[in-house]
Amino acid sequence: MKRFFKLFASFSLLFSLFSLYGEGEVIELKVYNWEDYISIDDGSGESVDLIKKFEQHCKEKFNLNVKVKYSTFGTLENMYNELMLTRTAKEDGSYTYAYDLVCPSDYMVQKMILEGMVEKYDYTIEEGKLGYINGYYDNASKFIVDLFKKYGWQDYATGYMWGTMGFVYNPEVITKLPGYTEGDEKHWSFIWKEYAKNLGTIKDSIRDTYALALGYVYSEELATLRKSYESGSLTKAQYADKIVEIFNRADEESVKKVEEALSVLKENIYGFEVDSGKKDMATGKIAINFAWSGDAVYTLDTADEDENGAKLYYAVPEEGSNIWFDGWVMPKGANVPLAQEFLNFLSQPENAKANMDFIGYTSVIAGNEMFENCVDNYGTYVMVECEAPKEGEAAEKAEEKPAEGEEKAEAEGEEEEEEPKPFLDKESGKYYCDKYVGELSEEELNKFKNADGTYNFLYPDYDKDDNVTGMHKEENVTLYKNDLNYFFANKTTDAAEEKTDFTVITDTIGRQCSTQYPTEDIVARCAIMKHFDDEQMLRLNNMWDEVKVSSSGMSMVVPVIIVVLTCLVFAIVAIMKRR
Amino acid sequence: MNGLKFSRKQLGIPYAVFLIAFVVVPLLLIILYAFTKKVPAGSETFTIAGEPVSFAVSNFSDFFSKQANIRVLFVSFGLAIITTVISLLIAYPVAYILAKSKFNKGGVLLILFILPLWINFVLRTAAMKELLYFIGMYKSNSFSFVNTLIGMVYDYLPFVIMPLYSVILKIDKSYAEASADLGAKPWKTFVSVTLPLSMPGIVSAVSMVLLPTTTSYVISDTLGNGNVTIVGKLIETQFLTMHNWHAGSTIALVLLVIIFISMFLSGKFTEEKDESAGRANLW
Repeated sequence: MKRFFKLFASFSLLFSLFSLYGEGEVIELKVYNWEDYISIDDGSGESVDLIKKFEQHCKEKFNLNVKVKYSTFGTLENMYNELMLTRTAKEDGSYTYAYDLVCPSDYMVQKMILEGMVEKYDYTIEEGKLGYINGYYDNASKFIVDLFKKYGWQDYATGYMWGTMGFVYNPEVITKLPGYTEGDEKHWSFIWKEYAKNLGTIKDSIRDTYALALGYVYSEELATLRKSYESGSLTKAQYADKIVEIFNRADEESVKKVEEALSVLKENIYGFEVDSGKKDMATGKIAINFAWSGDAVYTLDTADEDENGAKLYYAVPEEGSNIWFDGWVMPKGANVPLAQEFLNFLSQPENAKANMDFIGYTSVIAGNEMFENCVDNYGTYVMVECEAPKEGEAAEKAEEKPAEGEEKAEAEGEEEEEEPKPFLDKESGKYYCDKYVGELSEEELNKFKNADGTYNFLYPDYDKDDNVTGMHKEENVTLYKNDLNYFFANKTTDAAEEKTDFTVITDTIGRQCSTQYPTEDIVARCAIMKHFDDEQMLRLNNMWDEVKVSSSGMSMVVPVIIVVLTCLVFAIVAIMKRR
Repeated sequence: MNGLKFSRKQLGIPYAVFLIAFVVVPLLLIILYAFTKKVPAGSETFTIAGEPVSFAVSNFSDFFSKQANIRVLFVSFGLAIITTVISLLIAYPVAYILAKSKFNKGGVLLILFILPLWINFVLRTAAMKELLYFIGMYKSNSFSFVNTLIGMVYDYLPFVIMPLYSVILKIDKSYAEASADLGAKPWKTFVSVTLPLSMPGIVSAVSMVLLPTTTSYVISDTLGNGNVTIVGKLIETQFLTMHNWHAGSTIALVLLVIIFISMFLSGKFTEEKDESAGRANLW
């Protein structure tokens, strides 16, 4: 036994030596984030592993050996519990937490600030030094930064992703239902409608569904407010404050009204969900889904990729809705410079783009590069006639592969990435290029214009690698202008952006483009969710229990219990008699 | 290696440590949490994990004074009882046939019935949902309760078949033969000989199904679309949404007490029924 212990001791000593001197000084950065909320290498070859990239970035720029310890949570409540369980008390009674960076949502950010759980950002770090947090402010949308400033969170939190809440719906199903009138989907009452019976789902989460019901209960008040805002008797700021007030009401009267509304709704919906709604919507089990905009984009994409999938739409109710965001906070005891460097790194447009492409949510990072990404993804591209490739080239190509348009486009694509690749239409013998409608001149655009203002376009067909493989004609297309200047244009420090107009032109409205980037008009009527105190939360939870446990199931259960109880009594009596 | 001889007591130490660490201490913690309440700092009797608390029984009065909670208890136990009864009705013939079958050499047929148990629980539930959707059980949300019931029975059936099978297998054939020789008809033999002898299996099956069905809210959430709320869900809400570990522990304790009472009664029931020798023992 003794020998064994000696051996063991020497081994453990060896290991401890390894960890001390083996790799040099390694600094750990403990990041705690939502599940699937950062770009990782998924093996497709297209996604970027941002965590590895950050470690490399630290090594190259600051010669630091950084190891990111990345862990995830599924609900905010789990995250909060985990922080509470792993904290350590200091002598003066305050606590330090086991993580350097956490990514909670709006009301949890507020709760953590109120409870003094988070560190202040250090703005004194200069550019080029580790932890230059202004890298975030250089790139973030002024709209988001102002929002944080308004509520006094800018000292403690920086934004990550943001969006709205609304309905994802399937117009093919809904518009055919008897009783449907156009525009119903733009009101909270949509899901309460009788024709929507067993077709809709709502969130199995108190705060979100409570907001939905508030929108319904106070829809008249909200509509009146909207009218006075539109007529100009309310300023934008006043309107915003009123809306925030309504969507954060938790007094007894409101809760009572919500309870009644939800009890009615419970009988009308298909069910409550938090995650399964995306799949159920895409596969057509349901036709209305109360969803976060990020999930909505995902649902729309999934349905589009599916050959039998429906063309889904997303609408934010006109009465007003909720605007949500996820922000980074540093719990007390965090390694501030390193955490800030991570945020600075995430705020670089190329990394924000990688994140957005991977997650599908909307990044708070603005600017030209992000805008172009949006145009690439959601702008309408059409085929316009263009010049044939240069004589020599064309002849050369023709020799190689006569009349094979696809191959040509591909081969050329390799040579010069930036130039549009001409596509040879075999029937007409003309060359076409795909172009974003926003880049076309008025004159060019007019060629496609009909008398009633709609357009007849030739649309490109793409293969997986975005090469043009063919084209098809669509008539009477309406073009919409999605004005996103409020979000992209006001980069905080970079006022001298060359680009002046940030408007995406698309042929659809209510699809991915306006879901990911809501228009200014939608944002103006969206309120932020505030943190409720214990008393308000208790009131909400009692209401929630009453709603969730409706008495409908009781009719089936009570007789059974009575039968079982009588059986038990009989059995006990029988046993007693035997004795 | 002669020195490595352990007495029976020493061999028991790891198990005792395990039981104390993972059964006794957690149970005591639940009781402690259930009988304490968070109070403002300054007026506390003591602190748990930095939280000022003092003793209180108000958790229980809070729980029972809320109508919704009573309804949840009714729904949960109603669901649990119906599940248990249906499972028994399905499983008993299955176990009986399996135990008597000539084809069940080496327990192959039994394994076929137990097989679903080895497939991931969440996956099984999700698959069940697709199946139920396919046959049109999601046309109306009033089917939610029935769907949940089907899911519960499906998921817990193996737990009922197993103990019944092992008990029926061990029943001595000569009892049934003696009963037949003395002129009892087959059903009479079954009711007054086989059934009482297999009582331990039934009791053990009930104890394996009754409590889990009151708390396995994954099934009710998935198959019932969140329209059926059971006690397990209430406990989850108290712990995760409300951060009120005291109220959560209270519900867990109430559940435990109800289960203990029902187990005690059913145990009593079988004990009294038949004191004869030769009763097949479980396992």
